[in-house]
Amino acid sequence: MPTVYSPPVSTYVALATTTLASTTTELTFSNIPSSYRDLIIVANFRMSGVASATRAQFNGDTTSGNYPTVWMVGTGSTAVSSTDGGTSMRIFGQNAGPKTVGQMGIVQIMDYSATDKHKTVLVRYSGADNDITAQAGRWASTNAITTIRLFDSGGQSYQIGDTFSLYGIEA
Amino acid sequence: MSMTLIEHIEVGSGGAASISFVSVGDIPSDYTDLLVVLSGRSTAGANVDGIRIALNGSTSNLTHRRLIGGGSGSGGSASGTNGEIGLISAANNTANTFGNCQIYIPNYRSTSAKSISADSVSENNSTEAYQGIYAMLWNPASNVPITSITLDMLGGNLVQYSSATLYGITAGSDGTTTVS
Repeated sequence: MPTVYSPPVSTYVALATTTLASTTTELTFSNIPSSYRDLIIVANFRMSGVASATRAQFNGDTTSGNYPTVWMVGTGSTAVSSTDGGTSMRIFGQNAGPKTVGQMGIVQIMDYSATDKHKTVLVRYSGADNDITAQAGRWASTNAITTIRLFDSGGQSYQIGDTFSLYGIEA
Repeated sequence: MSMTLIEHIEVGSGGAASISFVSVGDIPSDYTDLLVVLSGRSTAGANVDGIRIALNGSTSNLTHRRLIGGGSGSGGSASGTNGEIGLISAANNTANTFGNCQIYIPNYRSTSAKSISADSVSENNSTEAYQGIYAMLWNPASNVPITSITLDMLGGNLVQYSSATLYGITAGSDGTTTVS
């Protein structure tokens, strides 16, 4: 039996946002409420130089193997597909290369507050001066996500004026 | 509500050369990002046609990279400067079948270079159907807020019943979640 909401329920709810006032190598969304179905992160950023990739960790989990990922990348001349794993999830920018002009990434985390399943993550990264990717990943934990840490694995810095926003999706 | 419908445009009888949101600069300034969703079919005599975007009336200073798949092993990655932001169905595709494209523009009011992301597909009841993801950078000599968005086709015109919808997205806080 479908559920009809009357009156309609507001969805795509803004949870947190930041516009960087100083450079930083990482940032963390914390105290994420469990009252939504999915999460969406929208990032619009640049890096301080040749960078590796932005990576994500959930709830401080650094367990090796808990972040399997598969992606396809277009560099503007070649198309590649590959996989990754490790102690964090690689999300933005699969090629080490210049990211000093505007980059953007959208991360969708499905059923983030569920406690009976691993978490599926879909990522679209657009770097017009570097590469473009579509990616699927999994956080191998049944814990609800309460924190999301974003950082660059090469130690590069996000720049003043970069924006990172988190939204909750009702369902 | 963080996603708000701003404007919906539908192409009427006879088709149209383009769809334009001309009053972007007039919309309330409390939106952070813009989202454009296009459903379209081109008159071009092909299985697919490219969607071109113009910002503030210009297709200059637009660079893109794309990754596409053609359903029959064709596809790959390419780059360009012609304003191409997606692919949709064209005249040689299955009748009455439209492609679609979603274009996300963060921080459209900023005075920095604009990074744009797009996903698109040309539907076809045959092997040759395309899916494409795009990254675009708008970086003119003087970076200004986006005040208008125009979509047209690289090879033809938009047919009747093509449509585009503009949404505004507002970032903010729920008072509980923090970021640092």
